[in-house]
Amino acid sequence: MSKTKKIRINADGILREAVVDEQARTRLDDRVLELQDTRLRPVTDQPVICVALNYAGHYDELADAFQHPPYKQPPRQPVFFIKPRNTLAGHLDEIPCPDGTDLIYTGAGLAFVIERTAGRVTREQALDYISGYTIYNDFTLAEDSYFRPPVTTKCLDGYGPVGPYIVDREEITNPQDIEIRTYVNRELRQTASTKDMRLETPAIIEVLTEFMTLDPGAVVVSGFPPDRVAVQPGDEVRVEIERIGILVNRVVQEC
Amino acid sequence: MKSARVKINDKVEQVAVNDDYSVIDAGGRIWQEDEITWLPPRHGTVFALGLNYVDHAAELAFKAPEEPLLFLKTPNTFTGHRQRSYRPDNVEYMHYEAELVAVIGKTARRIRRRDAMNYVGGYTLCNDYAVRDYLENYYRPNLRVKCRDSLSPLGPYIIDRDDIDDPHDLKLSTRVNGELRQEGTTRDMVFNIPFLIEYLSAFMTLQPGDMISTGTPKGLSDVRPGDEVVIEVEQVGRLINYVISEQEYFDELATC
Repeated sequence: MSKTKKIRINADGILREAVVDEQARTRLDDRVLELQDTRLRPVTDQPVICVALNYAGHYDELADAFQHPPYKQPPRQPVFFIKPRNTLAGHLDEIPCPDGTDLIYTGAGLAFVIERTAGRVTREQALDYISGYTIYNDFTLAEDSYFRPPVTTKCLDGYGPVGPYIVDREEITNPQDIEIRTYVNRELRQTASTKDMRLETPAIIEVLTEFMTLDPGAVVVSGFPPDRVAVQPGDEVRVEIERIGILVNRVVQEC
Repeated sequence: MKSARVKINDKVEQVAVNDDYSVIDAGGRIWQEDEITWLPPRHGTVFALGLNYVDHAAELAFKAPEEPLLFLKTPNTFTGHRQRSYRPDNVEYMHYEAELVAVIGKTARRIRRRDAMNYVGGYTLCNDYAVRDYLENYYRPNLRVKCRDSLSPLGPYIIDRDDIDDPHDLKLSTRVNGELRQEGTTRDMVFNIPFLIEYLSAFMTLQPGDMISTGTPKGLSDVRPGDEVVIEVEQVGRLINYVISEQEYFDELATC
């Protein structure tokens, strides 16, 4: 029996936390809502932290480049980046493709949500700090270098849909064996497994919280498989993560 | 007019700030500085600039960039005026960076340079500490360098835009234990505030409370536990910070 899932919705014009129960009904306090009347909002209101270069295939592709300028040597420590609040978007929100840009890129990733304040957490304790898991899609403009922080490519409004809901951590017994699929217009374009993550979930929490205290509700994305999928206005992007659900967004031409 | 967020008797209050750093709460009561705890004045997204002063870029053996070197700061790293920041154990070089911060006053999207100052609500100060030991050539400067807990004093308050004659003609300085270590002027910014607002708002929406920390001039040096670090920007104010050791910081956390 599936547990309830946490969502955030606009109800009566106010951003509220609600749940989807075992019968797939949306419940807000004691009320049952018609889902078509509710707009799912991003499951967090905090900036999102992402792990870069965390899938073996991607890292291997770049291994040679890492020996040369501007990098000169491979990363000594895991590489993170930030998606600020303006990038937050919900399930079914539209992703604008800027004028003068033909293609943008998807970045399907498994994300976890922090349950309680997490500072200096060891990997042994780390999974206890997770309340649940969700789906993240790191939309980005073409990225040809990892030398400077990815601001102009990744911080566009709405370029980080997250949701549709948070699945309780009990549902995910092993976050290192989850399949991630990306479909464009219903066609399967990418399949990946979290088995290929270089730094596993508990280690991410340990490494990150050594210098950064994470607040309850913080979302961390554990990485992105290689070969991001190019998409263009009109495309429907659907990320499916096993045991979690489906996050759908359509790319539109910016007006 | 200067406004701040402070804690008074464990309650967070929005206050007005007097020239002597006493504050006035919503009920009109005056509190002296030793009765309050300063908090970062706003919670918005903070962008910071690297290599945005010609002399500083030269000091680091870089040429000034052709487009802004922008990075993001995370909420955990900010602390208020007169608070403590910790220097990690076993690092060689941690330095301050005195920076003028422009605080966005209204929603800004696709703003032209000539209109940009209308979107500035005020100014504050950031001491954008960096631990150089952690620099790597991936998303440089990385989060370990720039987003560590406690290492970004911000404040003390926001001063209204119109209280500053010309934000691009202000002296900046840093004093460590009273000794002048860093000195410069905002005239030497490579990319000025209107440019940065145009640049950022071209691809994203800036919201009220978002901030742009505009970079630092030359004159960096190492700081150590026990140091008092004061950054000052003419007309805006001064921001005081105390450097403590990792041990002290975590001992204090454990007791509160």
